[in-house]
Amino acid sequence: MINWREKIIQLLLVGAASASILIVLLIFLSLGKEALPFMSDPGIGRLLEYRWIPVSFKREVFGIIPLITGSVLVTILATGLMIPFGVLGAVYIAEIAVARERAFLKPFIEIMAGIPSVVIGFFGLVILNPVLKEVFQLKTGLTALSGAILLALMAIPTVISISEDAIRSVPKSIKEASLALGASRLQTIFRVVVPAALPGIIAAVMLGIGRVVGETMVVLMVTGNAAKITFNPVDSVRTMTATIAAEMGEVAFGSDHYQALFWVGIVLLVITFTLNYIAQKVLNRYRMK
Amino acid sequence: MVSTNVKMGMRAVDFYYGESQALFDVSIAIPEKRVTALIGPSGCGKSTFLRMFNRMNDIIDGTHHTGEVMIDKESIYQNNNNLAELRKKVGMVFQKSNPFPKSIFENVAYGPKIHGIKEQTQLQEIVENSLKAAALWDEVKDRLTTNAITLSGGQQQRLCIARALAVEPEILLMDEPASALDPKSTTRIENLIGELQKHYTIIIVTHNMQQAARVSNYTAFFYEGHLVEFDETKKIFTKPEKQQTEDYITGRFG
Amino acid sequence: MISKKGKEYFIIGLIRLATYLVVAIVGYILFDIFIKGFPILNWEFISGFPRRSGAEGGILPAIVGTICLVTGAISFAFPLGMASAIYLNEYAQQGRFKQIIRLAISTLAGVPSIVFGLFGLGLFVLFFGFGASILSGSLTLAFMILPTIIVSSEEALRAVPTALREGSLALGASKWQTIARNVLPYALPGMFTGSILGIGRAAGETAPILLTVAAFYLPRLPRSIFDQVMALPYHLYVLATQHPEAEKVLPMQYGTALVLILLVILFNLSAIILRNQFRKKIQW
Repeated sequence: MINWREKIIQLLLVGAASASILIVLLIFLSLGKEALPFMSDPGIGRLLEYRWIPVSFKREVFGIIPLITGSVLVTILATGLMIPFGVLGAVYIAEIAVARERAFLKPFIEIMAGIPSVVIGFFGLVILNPVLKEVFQLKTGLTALSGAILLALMAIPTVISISEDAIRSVPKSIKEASLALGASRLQTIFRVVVPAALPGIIAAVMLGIGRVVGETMVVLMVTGNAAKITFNPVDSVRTMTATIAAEMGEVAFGSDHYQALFWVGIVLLVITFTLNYIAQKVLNRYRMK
Repeated sequence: MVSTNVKMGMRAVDFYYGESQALFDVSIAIPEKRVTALIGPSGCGKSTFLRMFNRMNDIIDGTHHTGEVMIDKESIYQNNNNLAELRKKVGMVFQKSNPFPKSIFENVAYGPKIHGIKEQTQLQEIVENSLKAAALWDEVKDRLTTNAITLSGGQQQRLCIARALAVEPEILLMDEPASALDPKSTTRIENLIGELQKHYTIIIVTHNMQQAARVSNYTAFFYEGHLVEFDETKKIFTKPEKQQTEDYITGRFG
Repeated sequence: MISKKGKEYFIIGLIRLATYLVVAIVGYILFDIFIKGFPILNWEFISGFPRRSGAEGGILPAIVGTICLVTGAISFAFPLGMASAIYLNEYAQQGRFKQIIRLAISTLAGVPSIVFGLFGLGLFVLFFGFGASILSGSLTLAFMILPTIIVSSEEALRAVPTALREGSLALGASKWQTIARNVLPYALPGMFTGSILGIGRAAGETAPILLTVAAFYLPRLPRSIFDQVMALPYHLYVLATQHPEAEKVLPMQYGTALVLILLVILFNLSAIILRNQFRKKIQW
């Protein structure tokens, strides 16, 4: 009798754990279902054009290339900011900060990670953009750079906390061996500790990039949303995420435009999935060692 | 050589953790209401051997065995539904005392409750008797509701013994029960084992040869997964049959 | 010799500067919102209904909406996450199935929030026909925070020593008896911590609710789970970017931002404190 109860409970638990698999499948399926008709009409090739003009009296153009380059530009800029600040921050917290500093910095980083993106975007709109406009003498502060700075701020907590874990899991004995050989504290940090923690740091950066690529509200609010191919940091750009958020609300269900937006979602999903998958692989292999 | 009834035993048991074999063709017959000590160097399979009898090895992923393990002439690995009954019959005391972070009372009452005893007066009686049998009652009777982790190491270990006794086992498996204790507490545990032997069949793993000599009637010497020799403790410690046993006992290795 | 040491101090100084620069910027964001939002914060703002499409009045419907969404999300996600964690940590054997579940969880954790929005739109709003509603929004948020809850619940379970499980099993307790009586009670505080973090995240997200529930302007309280609602983050977004007089309603934006941030910080801080208490108290 007891065995029956045990079996039923175990079955329920297996079911619950399988839910995650089911949800992932459902995400792919529900996106695919809405996006699929686009493949035959108007045809998948239409996505590869160089302009995004989804609403037009003449001919609608659904080229997602400018959206991809928009996301790429913002992401590269944000990554450039995120890596030095994130990694140095992690090094500082793990190796340099005294205990009392750490007791302040670690919760602060966690609070920082929790600030809603819409609040960051709001701050960008009312404070950062006017500053950038002034500094670079621009017509508008709504630029890729502005988005990148704010996205870097949002991703830095991820980079710091995972890198810090990696740095702290470097065995003490290695550090001591280096110090005992007469290496200074900094030499030990940058020649021994950081290289040993490098896989973890790389994974941290990749997860940070995943977060940047997928972030929506900040870019929607501050980057100007001009769908054009540009690599000028102080130009306006339109990212994939912002496009979905801005246009999905006004589009007719089932229309070509609607389906194209789901395709943008699929491209996003594939990119973030790949980034996460590689990061997880790196972390797993690293943890095994 | 065994003068009393056989309580439990093994026939040709091989045991594996995944690929690596931990017990090799072990056969043994363990007498009832006696203390049997298991000695041998670390990693020789003593604990694995011990945990065969209450099937605690089952909870480790990827283990399997061949051969037969018997208690009261019944093979204990045949029926998977009787696990609760088996473990009720075969109590275990672990190397590191593991009191639950509950009150002293709740620790001892845990087993009886699991096995369906609900009535408070009956539980109280069981708790008192078990604590008395474990020689702990006088020290804790006034603070049964305090958390068990506040007890000293030796008291914790006796609490774990009381907890095991509360489900009325017939057999007690003890895995180096005194290895983490100070000499005074060790003595108390050893005396307790002497008392318990009247009612229970006890198997005790020990690292300490003097302890084996002091508390046990029979001794089994394990080496690298093989049962090298099993005999009366007196005989093992005075004139062992095997050279390996003698070398170990006289301190030439291990 | 001295110059080498001087250089070392200089570089350490730079690293410290980089760290505290980030702290300062974030500190400034918080400071700015507190200073400018605080004067708006009064009883009428918290408990009143918005007027003139949010240019005047209060934000009660948005607060209530966010609370509804978060409550809905956590009541789906907590049981599911807890059960998944129990399976993964207590039952699952190493192998393919467990690897696939883990891959699914880390995939979920990386799905962009707007894609969750699309998914919620496709599945709950359209396919199941729940429409844009609290139900659709809550389910979407629930799946978004599920990985957080699973991962922290697992961590809480792992922190319970194996010796407690063995002790219980050795007394003849079944696996589930052991988990229910001698593992879960000690893991629950840790599980709650993860859930509170999840709640904080759900409260602050905009993108997933954009397409599944959020109302642009709806100055009344919801009557059922099939109603649309306003929500704090979306309200802030609307006021800041969509409102015809965005400049004029700046104080309302600051007020909304402050309420939102206070809510989220409240959740996060209580999670951090709860976790620290828990770590301090239980020393096995």
